[in-house]
Amino acid sequence: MRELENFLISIERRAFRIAQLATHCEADALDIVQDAMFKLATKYAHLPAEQWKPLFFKILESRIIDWHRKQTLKKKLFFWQKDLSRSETETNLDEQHHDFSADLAHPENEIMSEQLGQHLLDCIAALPIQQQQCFILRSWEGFSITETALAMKLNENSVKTHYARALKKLKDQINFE
Amino acid sequence: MNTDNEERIIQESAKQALDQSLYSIDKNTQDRLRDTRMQALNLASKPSNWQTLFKPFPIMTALAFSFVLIIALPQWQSSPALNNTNLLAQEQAFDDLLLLSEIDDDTLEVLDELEFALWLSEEMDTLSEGSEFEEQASNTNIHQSMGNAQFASTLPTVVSCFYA
Repeated sequence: MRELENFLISIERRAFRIAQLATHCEADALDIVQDAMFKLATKYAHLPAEQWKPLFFKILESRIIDWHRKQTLKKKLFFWQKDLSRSETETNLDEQHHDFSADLAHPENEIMSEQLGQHLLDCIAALPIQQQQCFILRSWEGFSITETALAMKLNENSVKTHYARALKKLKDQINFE
Repeated sequence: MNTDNEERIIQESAKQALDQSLYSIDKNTQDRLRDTRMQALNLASKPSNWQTLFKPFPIMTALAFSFVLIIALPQWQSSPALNNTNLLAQEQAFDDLLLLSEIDDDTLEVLDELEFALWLSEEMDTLSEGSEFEEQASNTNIHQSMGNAQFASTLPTVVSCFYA
């Protein structure tokens, strides 16, 4: 039980951030993380600890995709209501087209400026959901293509495509000139 | 900058930005995450009631379910027919009640008078049979029996008036 608690402590804030980037809503992100934790605890706690991380992210991704499907349906049903959260993010991204080349020159050696960090997070949040999740799992969680494909229930070629497109979009958003 | 280098820089920068963003999660959210974790651990520590009940005897449980199904299924299948018969009878009774409720006081009076006319005709038949017997027995009361026969002959006319 102690092992499971340590695992959940190590994963909870990261999971919350991933869900928040996907949903743009703290309450929904918390609900998604809660569902994922409950399912892992009730169904898979008896499995070896090495299997928890891929399983947890598989559940999390499944919940995030479900949430997006529901939102898409909701948007179709209530088409006259505008999605303010996403449109605001996109507007901000259009306005914030700064030159971060100086900050990006040595990102591993120095702490990035808050402005660049926030801009990158906004860019990631504005990505289409599958590109975003591919990028986060590969870049942040360090998942391989196979692991990402398993977590997202996609084939490996789709993962490669989504990841490449996500990188291209982020590159376009950040001025390297 | 070449493309690979740019991609590596973006990956590193994004990773760093995401790591830094973990420290900006507010206290309230952290508390809620901790509560969620505790609830999840509680769920993991105790199996559900159903699991507790059925885990020790999986084969026995399966057999019990099969037995219950074998017993319950035929009854379940036969019950709708009974229910349908009952429903039909109830519908018929309800229709009768509706018909009765539609009868007003005048109609009831007519029905009473019809019953009276039928009773009267039966009485007159009895009387006429009696008078014939008396005629055969003796010819002393000819006038009276003639009067009764005349009254009996007028009875169908009276009944037809009531029906009209």
